[in-house]
Amino acid sequence: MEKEVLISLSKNFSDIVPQNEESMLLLVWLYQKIEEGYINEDFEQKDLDDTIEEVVEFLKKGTGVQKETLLKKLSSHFCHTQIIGNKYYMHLTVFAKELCRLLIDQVQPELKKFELYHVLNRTLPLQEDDLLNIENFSHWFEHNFLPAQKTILRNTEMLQTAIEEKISDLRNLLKPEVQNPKELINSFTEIFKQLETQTIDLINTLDYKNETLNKIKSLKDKFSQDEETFIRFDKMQREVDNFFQNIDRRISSINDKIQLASKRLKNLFDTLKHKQLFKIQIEKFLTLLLNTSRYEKGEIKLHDALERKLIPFIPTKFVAIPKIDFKTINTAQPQKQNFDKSHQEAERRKGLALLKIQESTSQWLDTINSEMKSGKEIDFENWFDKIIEQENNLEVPINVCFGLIEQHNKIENQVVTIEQEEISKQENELSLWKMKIKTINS
Amino acid sequence: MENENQNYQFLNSDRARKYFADADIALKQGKHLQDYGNDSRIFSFVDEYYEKGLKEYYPTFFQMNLVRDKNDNQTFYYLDFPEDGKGKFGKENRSKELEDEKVIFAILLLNMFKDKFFEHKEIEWTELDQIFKESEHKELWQKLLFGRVKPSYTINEEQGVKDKVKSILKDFEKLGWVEIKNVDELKFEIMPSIERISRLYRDVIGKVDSIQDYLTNGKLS
Repeated sequence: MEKEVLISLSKNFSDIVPQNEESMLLLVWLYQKIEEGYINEDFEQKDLDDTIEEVVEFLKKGTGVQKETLLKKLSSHFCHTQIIGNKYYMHLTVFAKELCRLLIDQVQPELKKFELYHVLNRTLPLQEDDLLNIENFSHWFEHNFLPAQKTILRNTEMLQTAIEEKISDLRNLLKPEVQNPKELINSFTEIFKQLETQTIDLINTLDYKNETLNKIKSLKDKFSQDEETFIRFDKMQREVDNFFQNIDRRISSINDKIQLASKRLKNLFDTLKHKQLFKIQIEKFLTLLLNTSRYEKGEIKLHDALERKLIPFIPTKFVAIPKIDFKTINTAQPQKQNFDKSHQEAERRKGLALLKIQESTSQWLDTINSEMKSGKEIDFENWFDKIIEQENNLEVPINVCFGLIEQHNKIENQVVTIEQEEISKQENELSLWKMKIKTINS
Repeated sequence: MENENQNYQFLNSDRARKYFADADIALKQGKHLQDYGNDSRIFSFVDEYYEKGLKEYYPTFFQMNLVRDKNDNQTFYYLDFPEDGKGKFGKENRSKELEDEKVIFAILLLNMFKDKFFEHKEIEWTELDQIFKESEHKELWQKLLFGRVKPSYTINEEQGVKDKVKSILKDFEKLGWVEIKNVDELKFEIMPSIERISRLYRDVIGKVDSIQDYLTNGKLS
């Protein structure tokens, strides 16, 4: 919306909207008198004075209404004065008449079914001519569909408002002071029957919408020859389609409400008294709770004298540690780990290789130890070559070497002799010191 | 064995094999079963076999009553303690106290359910917010929810109340008292089983006037 419009509305607010009950009633009263021919379109000062008096009397406000202020308020946007001869004549502006019509329609939600049927039957169906080309179809859309859309929506809204008001009135039935409940229930049943009829009329009025929709859909091929035409057609087709879907939903919801309320009304009379009393007790109990409870550390606490009630409850046990995330609902399912399969496989292979080295190291240590037990001297240089030949892995003989040193350092009757004589091993580009281990008899 | 099962006919049925476990677990978790949504199947099983052994099964083995109740012409089932004790549910971790704020909200929802006698029982947050901010008892509500009455509340205070209501509704959903349609928008439907709260507080509701006198003036009328 343009900002200028807002500024202008804000400035003129008190002039363009009737500011009080008296101004609004005076306008509507004048409008109705003109419509019904009691006064002329161009009325005189006396007609205005009479109407003001009638409004004052109706409102029973006596001298509380300032006639001059009222007239002043109406002068600029609602009522214009002109002099013809030597007499002053006034007339309501088009804006005033439109506003009065809208106000009356709003408070008299009587569905004008014949008028609606007439309007729709005349304007909504597509004629052969409308389908000839995109210009004709567009003309139908602008001049027939859009105004008809407004009328249908207005009637639907009126029906919706009427139903909501009546349902709200129905709530009064449950109050204990209701007089003659049987008559009241009967009158409501009658009202809902009428509303039901009006809804059915509305549905019937729209019955030929499928025909209209099908005709529009059949034009798709015809208008898909060039892109610009198709885009125009598609936009209009979507709007018609969406509109009817929207209306279908609204009418279906209105119908549901009527059906439910009518069904309830039929069953109400027998249990009315009991329902009224029980409802009152519940309301009193709620008020009692509200009056006697207190707020304590962010929580509501009931009066200590009120007994707390137990309900059977075996809690669900968690099968997994709950995920602490207040934004999501805990599903009690263990969280699945994300992992890299190739990395896992590489780690597994690494583990296996390490295990193999440890296993071989252990086996070689056992073999060497049993050699030593038989009293033989261990010349590690030879064993080194033997191990490397069989294992084809340098780590095994190195581990065996460290294992032997560590093991024999702890045993008193064994001696490890390391000579600083270097032995080169060509094939593995490594050098060893000469190492011998032997058991001594002590 | 065959003679025994004649007392509990439901145990012989195929439907029991399918639905009894779910119905039993739900009932023992405090759920009220009614013909609605996901519970429709187990409700239908309980409804069919209630008079064919299910009604006797719980008093016999758990000393608990399986109650068939009605509200708004709709049936619902729940487990209840016997009049003279708590049956097998008297042990620790087999029952729970209905928290104070849940009592007050359950009574509010029951009242709204009754108000909407002629309508669908769907509620949106705006309707609750209106009760807290514009109803006859708005000041009492605000005192209990926000701790004090102010012309307006901060976003955090508002959110705090909304979160509290959300958490209560989630617990009520576990009991089968409401069905949440949209948790973020706090859109939900009040179920007929909300009537249970009036059964729990039957003694208080029946003599609410004298209790009111006692709590406010310290004397019984």
